[in-house]
Amino acid sequence: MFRQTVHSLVVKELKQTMRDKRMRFIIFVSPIFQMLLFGFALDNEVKHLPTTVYDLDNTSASREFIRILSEGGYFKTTAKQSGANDAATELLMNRAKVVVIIPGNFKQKIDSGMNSPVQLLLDGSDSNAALTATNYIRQMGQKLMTNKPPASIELRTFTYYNPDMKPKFYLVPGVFIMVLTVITTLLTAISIIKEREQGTFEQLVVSPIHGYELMAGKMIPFLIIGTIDVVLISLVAVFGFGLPFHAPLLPFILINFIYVAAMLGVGLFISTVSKTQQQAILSTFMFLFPAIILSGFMFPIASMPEPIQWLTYINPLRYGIEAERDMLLKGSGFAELWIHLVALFVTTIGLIGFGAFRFRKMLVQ
Amino acid sequence: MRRMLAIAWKESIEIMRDSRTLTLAIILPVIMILLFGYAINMDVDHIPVGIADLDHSRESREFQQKLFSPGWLQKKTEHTNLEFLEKEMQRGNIKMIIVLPPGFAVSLKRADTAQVFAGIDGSDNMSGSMSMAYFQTFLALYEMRRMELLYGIDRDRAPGFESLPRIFFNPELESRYFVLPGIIVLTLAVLSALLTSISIAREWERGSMEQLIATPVRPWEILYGKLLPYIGISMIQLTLTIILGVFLFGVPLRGSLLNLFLVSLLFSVGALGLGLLFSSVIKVQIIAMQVSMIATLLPSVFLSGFIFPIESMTPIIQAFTYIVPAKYYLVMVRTIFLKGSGFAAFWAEAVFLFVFSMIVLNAATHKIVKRVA
Repeated sequence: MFRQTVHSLVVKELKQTMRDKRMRFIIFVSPIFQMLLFGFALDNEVKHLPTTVYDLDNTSASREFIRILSEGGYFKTTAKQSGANDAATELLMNRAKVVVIIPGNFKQKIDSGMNSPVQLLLDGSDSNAALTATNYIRQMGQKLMTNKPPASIELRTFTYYNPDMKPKFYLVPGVFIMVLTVITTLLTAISIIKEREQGTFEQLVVSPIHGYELMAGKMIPFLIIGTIDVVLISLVAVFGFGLPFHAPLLPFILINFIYVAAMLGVGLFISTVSKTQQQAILSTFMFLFPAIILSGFMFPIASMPEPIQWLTYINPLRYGIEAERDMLLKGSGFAELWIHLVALFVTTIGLIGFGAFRFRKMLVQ
Repeated sequence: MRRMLAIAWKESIEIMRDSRTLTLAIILPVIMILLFGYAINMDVDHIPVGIADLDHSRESREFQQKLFSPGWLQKKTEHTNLEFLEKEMQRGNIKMIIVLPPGFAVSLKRADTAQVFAGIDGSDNMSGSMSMAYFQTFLALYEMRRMELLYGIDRDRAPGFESLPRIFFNPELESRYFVLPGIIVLTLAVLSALLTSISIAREWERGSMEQLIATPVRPWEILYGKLLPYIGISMIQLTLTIILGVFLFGVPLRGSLLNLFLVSLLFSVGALGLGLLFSSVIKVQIIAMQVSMIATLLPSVFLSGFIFPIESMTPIIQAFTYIVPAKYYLVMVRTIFLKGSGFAAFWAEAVFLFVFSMIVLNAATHKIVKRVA
């Protein structure tokens, strides 16, 4: 009896969701498209910084300096021979983020074995770019030192799990979780509200269906859709971006499955506490936006104030991103990720439990 | 005009009726500013490091002490077994491994080259590359200090060139000044589209659109009438977030307040218009809202230049960012807040945003007209 009722509810929900062309687009095409778009777009390396160089020396030495500056692709330089008095205006008018002023006696000083100061003006309103530009130019200075004293310390570096330090490798697992999260929460957050607003909820309530059957009938279809999305997104990650797939299969499947379930829990929770679809969608935003910002993807968690760090412990996105990266890049399995698994599991049980409780109350009313 | 105002009045009543949604819409940006103004810090701080000091000398201890005392890198584990440290990294407990090999002190004393090994967790973009950059800077300074002590090398006399950086607008490189304007923009971008995305679809779902159309109200009057009350909400949101940003978090507002409101007005017309467009094209509330969320949330976060620099993207993707209105607004807001320059500095963004808004609004109006025919 239970199986049959749930089965027909699942079929009904799936049909209802899939019958609209636009819904099919949202569910299957948009994750792939977003994954491709953001995967190709994101690069946290600062490159092609618009740079104005005032070359007041205009000698072979200064031109060599500019050539080396433009070489790495970090600075997109425009050279000017005069007008250095207005240098700050370049920043003020958004024409450049970096201004370099090479003084008139540049070659003369270097030839006579002296230090020639190069003036650097940076746009601090983009603090990230300013910091990176300073570092690039300092490193360049060390490289250009003609008569270096012998180095007393040699640094040998190695990057674990991503030897070429490819940004795609650490960014794509993050995008993976973001895209999956948005789609799964969004779908479930309005699933129950919709029935209530359309008045079909009452019909379901008066029919001989138990509350838990109704719950299962609401959850299972979205679990199926979420799982299909996991597969689609993983395929793009591995074949589209050449991400190494070091993940042991069973943990990968299980953790992703539980992650989708946790997101359904969030959606269910929102759906049962909201009265209208609009409230539900705003609440979804209220969850998604902080969860994205505090996931450790864009801002290091270690640098956040302590109370906020505690907050990240209840952020399923944090566990999702860490687990996804560790599985794909490090090949971690249950031994390393059991905390993540437990955390996501507890989140799922807690949210679905609370959702079921609210759901029962809704049925009684 | 009178008819447009009537529509606006009707829409306002509709908004007021669902007071919880209205409260959410106004409170959400405030919550975001409070949370992130406090939470976000892009500086490397307390990055957990595992160190293997195989030298056990006075010099190596001194080196460690100098390295860890500023608190940017934090010593989490010390162990002589590299494999143990690598296990720790795999578990995610440490983000960086530093090895001081045996003979470190001896080579330093003999003025040979002492080797230091540093490995970072390449799966974590934020901590990994930032801590390595910090470590390199530390080494350079450490070396310079030793040189000065040992040989008395005067830095000014060392041949080559030295860069004299001067940082404008934000000399302390306070990341909050960079991030908070971004938070204002992102919140407004998403909320605006979400709020308006239901407004026209609602009329279609209820069947009241046909009635509206049967009246002498013209499509553009419906559209702009619906836009007006939401512009009001946007301005309230904006005023609250500016007050918080400036007075609570000390973000300097150097430019003119009038300019800020002008560009904000322009932006909210565009962002709200996008929601209206989805609403009139899709005409089903739920789907229109879902599409708005998908079309604004992640694109605004990733493609607006909020954190990930647009200059670094490939040209095709850069072309894509032209349809993200948050991109233009972000440039203008940052410029007005931190640089204080006027329209001369961002006229191109203003024009783009204006064109974007006009296209979106016209398309939405057109969609209503066509539906009637």
